[in-house]
Amino acid sequence: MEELQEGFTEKYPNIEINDNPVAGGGGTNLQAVIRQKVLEGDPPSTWQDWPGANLQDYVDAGALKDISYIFEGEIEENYGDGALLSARAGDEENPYVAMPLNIHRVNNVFWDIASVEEAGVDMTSIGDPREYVEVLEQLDGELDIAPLGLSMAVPWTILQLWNANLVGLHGVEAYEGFQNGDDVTSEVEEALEVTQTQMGFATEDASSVGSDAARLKLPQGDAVSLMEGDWAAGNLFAAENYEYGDDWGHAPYPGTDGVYTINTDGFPYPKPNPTPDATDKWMEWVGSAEAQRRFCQPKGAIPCRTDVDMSEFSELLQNQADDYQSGTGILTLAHGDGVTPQQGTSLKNAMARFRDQGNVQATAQSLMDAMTL
Amino acid sequence: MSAINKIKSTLENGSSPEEHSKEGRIRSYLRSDFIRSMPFWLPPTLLMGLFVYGGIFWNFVISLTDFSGVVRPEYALSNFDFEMYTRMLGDPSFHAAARNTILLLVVFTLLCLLVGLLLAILVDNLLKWQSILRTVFLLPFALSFVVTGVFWQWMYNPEIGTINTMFNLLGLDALALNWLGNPSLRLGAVMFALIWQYGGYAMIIYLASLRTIPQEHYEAAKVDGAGFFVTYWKVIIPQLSSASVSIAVVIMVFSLKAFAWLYTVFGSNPGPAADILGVMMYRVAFSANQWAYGAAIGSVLFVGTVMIVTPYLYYQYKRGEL
Amino acid sequence: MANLTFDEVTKKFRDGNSEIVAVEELSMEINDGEFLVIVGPSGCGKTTSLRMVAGLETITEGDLRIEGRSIKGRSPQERNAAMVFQSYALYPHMSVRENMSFGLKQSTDLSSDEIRKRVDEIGDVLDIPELLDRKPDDLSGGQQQRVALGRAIVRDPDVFLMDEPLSNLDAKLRADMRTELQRLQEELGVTTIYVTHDQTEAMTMSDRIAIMNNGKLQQIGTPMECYYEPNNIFVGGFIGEPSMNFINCSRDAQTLSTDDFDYEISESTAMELESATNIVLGIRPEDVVVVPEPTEPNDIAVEVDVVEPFGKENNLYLIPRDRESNEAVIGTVNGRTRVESGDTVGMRFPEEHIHLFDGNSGVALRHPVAEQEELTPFVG
Repeated sequence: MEELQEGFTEKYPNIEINDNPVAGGGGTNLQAVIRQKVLEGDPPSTWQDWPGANLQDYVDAGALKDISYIFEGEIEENYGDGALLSARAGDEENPYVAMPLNIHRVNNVFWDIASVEEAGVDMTSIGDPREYVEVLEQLDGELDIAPLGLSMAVPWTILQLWNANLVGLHGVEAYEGFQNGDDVTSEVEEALEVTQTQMGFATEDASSVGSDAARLKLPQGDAVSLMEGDWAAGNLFAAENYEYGDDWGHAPYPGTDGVYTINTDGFPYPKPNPTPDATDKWMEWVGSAEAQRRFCQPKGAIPCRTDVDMSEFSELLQNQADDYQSGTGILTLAHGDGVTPQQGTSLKNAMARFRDQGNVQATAQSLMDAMTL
Repeated sequence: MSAINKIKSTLENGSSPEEHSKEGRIRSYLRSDFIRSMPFWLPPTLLMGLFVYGGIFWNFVISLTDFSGVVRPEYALSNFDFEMYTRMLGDPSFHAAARNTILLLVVFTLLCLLVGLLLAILVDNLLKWQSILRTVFLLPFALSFVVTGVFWQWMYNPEIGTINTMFNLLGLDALALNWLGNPSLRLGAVMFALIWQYGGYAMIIYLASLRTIPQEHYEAAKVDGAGFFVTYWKVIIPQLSSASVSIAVVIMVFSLKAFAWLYTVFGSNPGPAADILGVMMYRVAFSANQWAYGAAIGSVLFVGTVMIVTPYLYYQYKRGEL
Repeated sequence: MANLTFDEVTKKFRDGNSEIVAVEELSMEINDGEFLVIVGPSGCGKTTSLRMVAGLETITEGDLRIEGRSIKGRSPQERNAAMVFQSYALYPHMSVRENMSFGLKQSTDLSSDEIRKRVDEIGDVLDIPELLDRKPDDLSGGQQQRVALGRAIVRDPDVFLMDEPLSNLDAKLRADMRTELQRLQEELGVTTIYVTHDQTEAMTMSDRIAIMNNGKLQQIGTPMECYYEPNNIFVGGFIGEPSMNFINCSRDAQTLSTDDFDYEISESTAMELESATNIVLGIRPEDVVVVPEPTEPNDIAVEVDVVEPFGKENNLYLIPRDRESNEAVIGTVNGRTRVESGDTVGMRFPEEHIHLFDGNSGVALRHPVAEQEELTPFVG
């Protein structure tokens, strides 16, 4: 974030950035404060948020500005489709209202190479989630450690896994059907069944550990594989004596090769804007290749633009960027891009219930009901 | 009030009320305690009224709208309805949260009283270590829910947590369960942790109350032929009833606020097995932007709290302590 | 109904590393139906002795027997003793009836009907039937006192133990209750041990008094014995109000001399003193004879320092003349005697009324001789 601001100040030395961090509670408190300010008609110039459907409430309230004039031309040409959809608050009907900055891929599988080799499994050739379940079974039989690292203390990780299973089993059509509120009961149920089986392979303490702790199960030697967004790579890179390619591997989640499940971070453009000129310049800066290069590389995400020089990025991110350009982008259901706050909360509610009660039919119904909100 | 003022002013001026001029009456009125004390009680009263009771009322008004997202609702009578309340009735999340809240309220409170009482009797009967044990048992009460939440998350970890490690060491592997993971154990595990935190509080109040019971009551019971248990059951514990009531009220109010603990451990969604109204209210309002629904849950919680506190206040009032 | 034996009972308390002897080798026999008052200053061990009988304190050494049966180590239940506490110790959450029934429920097998009947009976005896359904907090001090008594009586115990039961009452009520207690005790005929620091209570109520000091029994005897024939200086000083005058003397044959005066004793009295030379002369205020001026050899010229009028009698504080002593001798004279502070009078100690104690051990060497005739039964 500092890198981003520094670059901006270098470019526009006469614009002062007044950074107002919201104290405490990380994201949630910030959201509440921003919403309150927007309600009062006194929004900040911009703030960092998940673009996509997460902003639908603001769009409905007419609180975001149409910034097509910033996108038209150079940015629109160089942004990937998924990122542009997120800029439209997740709906083609909307104008551009936010500037996405970076993209995390949600559909990944990570694994511990030594363990996988010991079990004689090839993680890169798994065809779909069902085969992945077979692999988990095999790992379970061969090794003493848990086949899957997963946090079940919070529901979003399960939702994320189910999202990947849905796409992995039934492709993008099923995902789109689900998002449109179509009847995709059998697909949703099948994905739930697979998810449920997978949960059985998780570490014993899955329900007591948060997502950070679950990721560290790999370098700690407590779990073999991990379904997570590529922010998890940050935890793995940070682990000592644990190298990408030698000690841990990465691939798109089984069955989702060619699909890029997008989770973006970016900046909404509220109206009325207290500093429209400066905010225009900020948006242009955020949308520029240089800003995205400077910001994304240390953050461990890929840029929204496809023309950024990736040479300084890690091998993993270079691969991700290639997949992003060649693949189909869909917006994640487990975070902000693909679902409104109401939908997201209801999906997580349903998943929390699923975790505790394991009722596939009821869960499928409440998941689909959630999307009609 | 006015009668008192009249008498006062009569005393002050040494004249009968009939002789009072209008001016004199106003002057004496201005000099009365009521007026003169106003600068001290009026501002806090108004501030309280505005921010606390005004806030409660406003919350109720919001619950009658369908305020969600970032569009302000229209506050017009024609827009007000009880839709949010009827929605509650059909919402399984609300059912689970309400059930857990009531369970927490009743079971947790009773267990807390029981544990506090037993600890108090135990500590009271010790000749040594009393003050150390008092501190040991009270210490968790001084910790914030966030600290104890993280602490118990570690304790309950089925693989490396202290509790299961202990059971395994004792050879009681069957008891080494997935405390927070298994939905049927989760609420119990939460209660246990909360009792650990609040048992010490109950103990301290009970202990203070025990200290007010004269030694002669124990001796009289002993001479009357009562044993240890009968003495406590028939003579001592009944005398702790008013302490029990105050502890219960405090514990119940705290149990409604177990939010912070649950939020620390489970985030905004503890699942139906341990969800409570406080957490649900937060989730609905602040994660899902369903302000009106959240406000409606808040109103239900408020009514619940009032239902707990009112009988207590009435009880205190009847005993002349209010 | 039982007699009670203290057999060299000793009670020691630990206080840190040191031991405190609260009661030392106490031996006494309390007869069936007797009203024994244990009296002494605070800390003398009287309450501890009582509590050992109740079973509230363990006995360190020696033995306690009821009807010859040792109760050492027995539970309070097996002792069948009932106790009245100074603070009454009524259970505040129980009604008077429940308070009175509690002991019966705990220590007997009586049915609730029988218990109810007995409580009603005792309620009548104590004249408190209308209080039975009230709570202790609603009762006056005197009523609470009666309930506390009732709670003990209803048990029909072998022994009543009373620990300063009247000390929380005001003076008038206390006097009434003294009489009432005595009457009750006589009616019920229950062996009673009554502890008090008030020698008036001891004198007026008891069959016998046991006087304790520093954990040791000083004397046990009837009130008259203790009053007229105290075993030692302590008993002499403790019993009687105002208390006995003590004068330190050195003796040479038949002469007792003090700094202020000499006092000649008869040959027979001197014989009783044997070889003791360090003597304490004791005389009760009412035995001091005040005369207008010294006329006899043993008379002493004194000045009246203070006059304390009580109506029927005056207490005079008498100081030997030509002497800056503040050690006054108290003499009691008839209330109608005209005497004022500053008057000079004569003070006379009739030999038949003087007590003589060994100045070293405090033990009585000679009691007054004239008491027997004064104790002649009153015949109307």
